Amino acid sequence: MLPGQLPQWLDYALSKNTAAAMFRGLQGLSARWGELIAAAQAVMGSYQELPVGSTEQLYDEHKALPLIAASRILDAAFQRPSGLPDEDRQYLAIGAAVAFAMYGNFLSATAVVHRTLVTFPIDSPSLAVSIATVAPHHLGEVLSRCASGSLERAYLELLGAFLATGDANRIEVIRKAFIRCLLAAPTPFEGGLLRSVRLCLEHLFRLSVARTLNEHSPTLPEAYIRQLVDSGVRVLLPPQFRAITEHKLLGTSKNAIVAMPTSTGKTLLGELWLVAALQQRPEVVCYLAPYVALGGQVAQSLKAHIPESLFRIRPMIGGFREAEAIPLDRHMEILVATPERFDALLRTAPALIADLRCVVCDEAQLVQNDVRGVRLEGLITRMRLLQARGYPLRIILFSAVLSRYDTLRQWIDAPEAAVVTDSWRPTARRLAFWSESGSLTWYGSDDPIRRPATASDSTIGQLFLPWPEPRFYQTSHIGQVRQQEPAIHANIAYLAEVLLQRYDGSILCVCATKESTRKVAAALAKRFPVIDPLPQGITTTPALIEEHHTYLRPMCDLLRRGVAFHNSTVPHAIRRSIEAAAQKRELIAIAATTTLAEGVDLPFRFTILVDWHTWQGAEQRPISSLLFRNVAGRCGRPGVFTEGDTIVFDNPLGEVKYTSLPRRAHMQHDIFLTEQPEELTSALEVLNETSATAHVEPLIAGLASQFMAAIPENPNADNLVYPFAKQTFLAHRLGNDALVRSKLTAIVSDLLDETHGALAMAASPLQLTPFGHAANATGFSPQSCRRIAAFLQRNRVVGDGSLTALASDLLRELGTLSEQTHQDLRKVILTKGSRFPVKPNDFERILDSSLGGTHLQYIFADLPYVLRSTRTPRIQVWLSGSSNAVGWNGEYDKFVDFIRAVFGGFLPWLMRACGRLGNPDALGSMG
Amino acid sequence: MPGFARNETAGVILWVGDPDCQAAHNATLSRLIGNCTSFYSTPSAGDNILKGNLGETLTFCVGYWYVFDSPHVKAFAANALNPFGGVPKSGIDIVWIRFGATTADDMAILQEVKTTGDSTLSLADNLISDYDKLFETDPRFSLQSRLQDIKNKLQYEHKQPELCPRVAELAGQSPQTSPQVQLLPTLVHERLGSDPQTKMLAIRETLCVNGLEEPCNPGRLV
Repeated sequence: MLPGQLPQWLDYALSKNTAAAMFRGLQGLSARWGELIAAAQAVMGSYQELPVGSTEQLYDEHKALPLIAASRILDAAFQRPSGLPDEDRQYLAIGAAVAFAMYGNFLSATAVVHRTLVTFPIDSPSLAVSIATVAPHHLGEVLSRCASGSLERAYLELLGAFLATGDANRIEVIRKAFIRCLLAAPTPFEGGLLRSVRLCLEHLFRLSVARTLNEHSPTLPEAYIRQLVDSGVRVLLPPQFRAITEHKLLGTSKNAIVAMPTSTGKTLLGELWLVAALQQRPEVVCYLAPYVALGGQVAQSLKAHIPESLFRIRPMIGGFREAEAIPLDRHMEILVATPERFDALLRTAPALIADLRCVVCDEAQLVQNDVRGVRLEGLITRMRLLQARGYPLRIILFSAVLSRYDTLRQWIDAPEAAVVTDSWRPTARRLAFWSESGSLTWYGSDDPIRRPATASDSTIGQLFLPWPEPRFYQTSHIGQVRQQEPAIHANIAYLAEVLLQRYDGSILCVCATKESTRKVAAALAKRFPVIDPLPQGITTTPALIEEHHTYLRPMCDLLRRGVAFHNSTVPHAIRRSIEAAAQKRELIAIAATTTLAEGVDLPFRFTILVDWHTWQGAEQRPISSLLFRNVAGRCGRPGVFTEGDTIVFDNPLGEVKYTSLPRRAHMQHDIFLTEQPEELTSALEVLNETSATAHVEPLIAGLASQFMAAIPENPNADNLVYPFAKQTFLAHRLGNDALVRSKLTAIVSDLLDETHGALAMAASPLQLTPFGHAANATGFSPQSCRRIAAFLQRNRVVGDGSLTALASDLLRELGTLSEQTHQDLRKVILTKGSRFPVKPNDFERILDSSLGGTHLQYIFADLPYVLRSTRTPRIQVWLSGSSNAVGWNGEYDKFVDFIRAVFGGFLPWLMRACGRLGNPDALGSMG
Repeated sequence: MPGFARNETAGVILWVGDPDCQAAHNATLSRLIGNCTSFYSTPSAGDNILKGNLGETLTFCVGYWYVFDSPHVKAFAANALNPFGGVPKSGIDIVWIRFGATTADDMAILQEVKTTGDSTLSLADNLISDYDKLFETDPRFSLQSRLQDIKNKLQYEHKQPELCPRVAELAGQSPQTSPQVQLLPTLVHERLGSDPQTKMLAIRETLCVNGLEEPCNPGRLV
């Protein structure tokens, strides 16, 4: 059944858009709900006749578009904003759930059932059959509604057994049991519904995790499949099914790319590939997760799915740190690591490389991100070199935001068949702009259901919603910007209130700065009443604040109204507590920086992009379309919601060269409404530019460090520069390796330079000296290692000999290394009159206090700069949590950033490097 | 076939007992005895459900005997074939589907039936709300739901699954997009002292105003 065979009168795209517009109360498209519902039912009726053998066709999104439209129409109709009678809405909800499941979208079907089950009277066993089939997650709950010995109970028990085992021999029996239920349907509605559910059942037969894995990946351990299914993963998403059965990626050792939208199940695919790669021998595989939160989620998920006796899950999350010993004598290891930790592992435990079988790299688009991007590109380049030497290692790149991947594919030499791209997604993503003119306009965006001759910038409809604070003027003057900010925040709060009143659901407000998160949260709270009684999840956070973080008391007032802010200054425990409350959907709105948006997967219905500019270094620039895609992917969490709306606030404040009209509109169009998002670039592409030396230096240092790591990994390479250059992403991007070769040639010269200690010997092949080996284990660049070694040679005994005195000296002397990316540390080291609250003389005291267990806010309050400050009210007032002392928040943000980046990240890395480079063998070999 | 005679005025067809009511009764009773699986013979006074079901049975008999008796027509009755079933089934009382030479010739006739002994015939007004539900927002009563259930019967009871796609094509999203669906509002009533023609003309007028297709003349269908 293809869309072309639908009745001629049926314009499903128009009906879907009309339903979306009516649900949102937009001007423009309009129809009678009855007609839209009939259109949806007609689509379902047409697809009921799909032959059993054609079910899989619906996993091609294009062929399922009418059904997707039908499900969204019914989904819109059943929700409160449609204004339809409650009783009608209950039955429409069941219809919506069935429509979703008819194209294999069991996640959205479950979301609908989950919302409906509370109030819906399942007064007939026939309805129980429908509900349990489209939302197998609820099968156990629904089973109790069917009398013992009834047809319906017999069917549900058979279905449950099939999902647990995937035993294909049971299928025909289940089909017959289902038909018996269908013929016993007490009403035409239930009979018709079951006719649709018949197709859903066929999807369950195909998408069954147990069956698919048993049939398509016989090498997966049986115990693993059993635990996976027992943990609740019983039905695959269609893109997962296609990746396994069509691309046959579990049965090949080729490199692969998975470019599927957010929430289409990439993590499970990664898990399957890792487990499949282990082949029952003591070997190692790795899931590279660039964010701590993401790594934590992946590790947690692996632990839930994988029997302890089978594999050992080893989370290695955080910055560059040497690896703990990984004994491979008995266990198969699954590492979940950040690229930094994985890099350290390969350098310090090189024996592991021979046992490395598969690396899944999540968020692979990060190769374009500055220093971290260079490290990731370097890591993958090194793995490509290993592959070229015959190592049986597989590389799989994941990204949710890529739409162009040819160069990436060529880079890792993945066959066309091993590129899994799928636009199928479980939830609808909507995009709207709230412009200064007061128009809240929804666009077609990347919705696959489009009417002819429409594009991503075609409008669905608009709502006239004037900004309550409309008067702004463009300015670059920071004081004038600040003066106007409260009006921006008031507008955002008003929008949030309107969204909640009209549509329900929780809201994530994405802000560019930590300051903005606090202010937006404060403005939001003014719009919402106190929640009484306060849900249990929310009450935890104020308790934590009162116990250890009294300066955060203003947040308690926000929490009482269901609002919170979330940024990296907020202590870890408070952030986890807020996330837990958001997870339970107890919070109405959270204002957060992109850190939250890029990290954990929380259930938000709406995302409001408060600032479409972000700070990139010292410069304010428009958000990149790739980052925006990631942010937009945060709303509409599958299994909880069926759709997610991202609303871009047409923020008129910011860098004038971007915000002046009409340039602003053009910029926004290019970022948010472009049909083809920007192509993935290499972070090293700036090496092409002649300017920006300061920016380039850390990138060159990163490249040098990666090249140095490749030397011992390729002991027989005659001229490593050539193969390394050839294997970089940059060379594939530029179409030749000349640029990277020239940079690597300079790096080799530097490695060989004996003036300050050679790191490599000019033998053929290139070899590291003992100093070079020590340097390589640090992860620092050759230049930085020389400076560290020189420091150690000069200062065998430092200060009073205490650890904190040494650490302080290290920071003062080496805080300007290329790997140290916190710009304020450079400033305080190089500039005497810096206005930064931490001065070099404070380092030791901060370290002592921190190691002594003092909370950061008290260390901050005790800084001489802070104590000397004439700012009012005084710091003690801020510490006590007074809401009129918020002026200190900005300073405290800077302090916490500094502590995290310098004391938490760079310093431990540096001190470990000292341990390596201070070794007499290393220092002695410097000459 | 004895029992009923047809009399048409202004598009409203009146079926009356021929030669008298007893003849109609006898013919219907004979069919009931021959076809009903359960026969509930002691109705209590004021049993409206049974009354309604028997009205549907009478209607079915007339339709079957005089109008739709054709190998091309299939009948789907809610209660007409089992009026003593006890639990009334919801749904359109009787749906007749004619499968023509091509799909363009297919036609569904939806026959809602009201049965009343009240000479004012006011119960007939409920026919309007019954038909209005076909394109309203409660999916339990929508035309699409009802046709989908009919497909089950065609496939699993009539063993003719090849006809199912043709049923799916019959209905649109509104009366205007459903030209192959026609209505046959029917009233079973006490003849004495009543004016069924006027009542049914009024019903038809209202249905047309509500956008529903003008009730058909079933005599032209087969």
